[in-house]
Amino acid sequence: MIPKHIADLDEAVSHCMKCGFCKASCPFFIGEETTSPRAKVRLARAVAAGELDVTAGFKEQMERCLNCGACAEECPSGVEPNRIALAARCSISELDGLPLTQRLIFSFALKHPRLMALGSRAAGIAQQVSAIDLQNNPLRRLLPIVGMRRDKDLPAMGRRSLFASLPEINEPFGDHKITVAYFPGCAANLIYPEVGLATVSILQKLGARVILPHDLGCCSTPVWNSGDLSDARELAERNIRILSQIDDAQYLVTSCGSCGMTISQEWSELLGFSETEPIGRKVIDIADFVTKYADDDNIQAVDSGQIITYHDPCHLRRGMGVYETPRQLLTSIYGDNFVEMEQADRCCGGGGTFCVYHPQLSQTVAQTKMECLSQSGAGLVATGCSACVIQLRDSIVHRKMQQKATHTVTLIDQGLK
Amino acid sequence: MNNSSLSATLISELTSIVGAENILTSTEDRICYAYDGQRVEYVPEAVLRPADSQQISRILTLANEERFPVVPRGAGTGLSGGSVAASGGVVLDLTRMDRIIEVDPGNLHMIVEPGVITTAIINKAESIGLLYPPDPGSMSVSTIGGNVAENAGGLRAGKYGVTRNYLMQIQAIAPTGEAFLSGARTRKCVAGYDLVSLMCGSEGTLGVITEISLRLVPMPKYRKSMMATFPDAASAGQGIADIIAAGLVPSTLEIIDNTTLRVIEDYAHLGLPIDAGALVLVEFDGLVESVVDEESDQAFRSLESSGATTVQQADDAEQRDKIWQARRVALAALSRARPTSILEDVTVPLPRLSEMIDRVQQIGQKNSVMIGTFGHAGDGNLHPTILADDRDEEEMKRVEAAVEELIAAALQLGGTVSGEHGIGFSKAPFLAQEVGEGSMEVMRRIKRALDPNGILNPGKFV
Repeated sequence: MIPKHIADLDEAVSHCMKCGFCKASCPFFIGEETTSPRAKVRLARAVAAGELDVTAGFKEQMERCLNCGACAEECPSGVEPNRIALAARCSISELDGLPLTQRLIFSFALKHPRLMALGSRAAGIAQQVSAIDLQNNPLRRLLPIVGMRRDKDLPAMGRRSLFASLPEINEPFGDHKITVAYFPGCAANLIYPEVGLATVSILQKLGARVILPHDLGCCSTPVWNSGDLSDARELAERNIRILSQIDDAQYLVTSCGSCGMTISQEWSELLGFSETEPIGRKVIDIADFVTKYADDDNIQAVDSGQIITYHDPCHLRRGMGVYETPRQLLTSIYGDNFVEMEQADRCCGGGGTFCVYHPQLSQTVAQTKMECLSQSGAGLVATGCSACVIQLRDSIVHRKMQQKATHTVTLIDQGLK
Repeated sequence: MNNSSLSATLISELTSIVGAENILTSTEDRICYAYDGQRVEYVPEAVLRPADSQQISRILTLANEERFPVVPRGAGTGLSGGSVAASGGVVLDLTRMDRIIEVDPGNLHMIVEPGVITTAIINKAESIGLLYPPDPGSMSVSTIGGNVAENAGGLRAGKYGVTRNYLMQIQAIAPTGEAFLSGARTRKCVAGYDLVSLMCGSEGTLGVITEISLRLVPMPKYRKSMMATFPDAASAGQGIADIIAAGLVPSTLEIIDNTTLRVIEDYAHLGLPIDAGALVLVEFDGLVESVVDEESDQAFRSLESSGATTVQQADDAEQRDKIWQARRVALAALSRARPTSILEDVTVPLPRLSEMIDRVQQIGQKNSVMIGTFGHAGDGNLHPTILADDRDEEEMKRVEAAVEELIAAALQLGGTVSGEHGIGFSKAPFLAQEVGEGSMEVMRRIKRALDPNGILNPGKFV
């Protein structure tokens, strides 16, 4: 059972031998024991046992988790420190409520997707009116006020959203072979609509009729990850209502590891909607879908003119088990120009919205990823999650590096006939 | 927030030594330093994270003036309580001192600070074609300083020895604050008392190790593995003793008993022969292929004539990997079976191995506790792992009785209470039984001579 509250932790923490093996791969662990997953388990146990109050220090420790799941992978006895920190965050948010900005976003904006699209459009107009050049805008001086670095790489907002660009039913190019639904999530709809467009284009090329319900909203990952299960349930319910009405889609395609993981697992396991298991079983990541349905005739070699590498999004690799197919596809399209980087499966430090709330810490975690990227010799890093794209681009700009980051689908689309 | 019981003056003095960033006094931070890999915990009064040996020296000088205990700590992965502040005081977290200072392939040495992770040392050596052989189970997280202080072993100990065998020179700070050096960066050195060996295994009671020169060996190029099944654990123990008696030196020689085997199969579904009484896993390595082949052929025949039901040799890396997978997941499988797993560490002379394995099974039955045994049988070191639930007081009483009987059995067979986990406080009650009062008195005199005020890691075995 997944603990959802600190009071439920007894069984979950009882298997912890305190062996410390979880420290080997935690991206936050920097030598000081307080930064280790083992410490989080121990402190949660201390609070559960009444040995420690819910202090400011405790709250801070429980927030210092990207939920990348690397600790759970290392643990010999099956403890999931990331889940335990999450349960602690759930208890904390019940106790004190969430900070104002998160409360506004979760309980208002995310629940009104069309309003959010309007907001994003307005942000785009504001960006355009104030100055075209996003990266050298004088308004950047205001960024530290909302807790962001002045040099933060900001995605250009307000281009036409995916939902504004495409109809709800998208017919295949050529013969109709299969019908699928596509869940783009917030990022591929509003922030990087080109990711959504590329995904739909890939599906159409492979003979899929793509259903794209325009009422779909946030999958709820950033909300439950902050410990707010009740708002997360509302968001999930809204999507579940829409998805349950689609019965002719064989698959529910995702282009984001977090959306895919949340729909296929967390809606039922964490949020308690066990009736969504049939929807969960239909979830397939776009890279897996392409590998399954593309044949040699579909794939063409492309000369990228530069070295390309791949970063594993935590929720795509550890949450959905997808890590071979993106590499196979990049290799079959880009040949020798695709190379592996060291520690490709180490968290980039983005953690969805983590990089917004903890910009400094997030960049500390990103350091190793940036070193590995530099050493790989790649000019372009592909990844299967838009939140990772945001973090990778920001980390590159912050270090004045030259590499580019893109979603894998844009590269797959170029190599698909 | 400072919730420590140390005085404000003392905390400000300590802060001036290590800097405000490197002293932890809040309750939540101190709880994180209350534990290691065994069950009993003590919350320290503060945690200090020194940057260098000068800071350590100043801390110890102050500790002698103000009379507070100082407990050195690496990664806190020990299994006997060595880094836990059993008598209060401050924990000295040495993980900031984590530089690899020098690697010399000509002299086959590597100089490191105590906070370097063991795996980082193994990888660094490997990158220049050399081997640092000690490979304790926690090597991906343990520090070399902790390995030296506990004289850590590992899977390769039967052929390559333990941490002590790879130490050339040590720099340390004495309990009273003075820096001292022992050993030399040479293959031989008999200059004075062997303080390197004294520091190694001293469990943080005689000095704080600040720099270590490690000896490296050439990386073996060839490896060959095999797996044998035996009808019962005792006959497997005999099979192991026969290999050693035949003059063969496997790099690894491991045993997995039937209880452990079944738990592994339940957990990992490897297709293991769960009806076998025990599995024996053997690996040879070396620089010359024909020698490795010859040794492993001889071991094959030895296992057969010792009564193995089956012996299966790995033909390629994939098969070898499969053979070792069972061993790799043993601890994971055992620790998932019940909430609490207590990893014991008894070690006996090789000819008594099969007798010891028999005794372990009898002790488990007698006390109605589940014991899975695996271990580095090739060096006589067994890890009987007791599975229980520490929330069940009655069961834990039976566990304690079983532990005492295990240790008594090992001593009766001429063995030791601990092959590689150390004494700390968890094995302290049994030490005198093994070494006798004469030895205890010598240890106490050494401790008093070096640490007259009892500053370094008090409340442990000495």
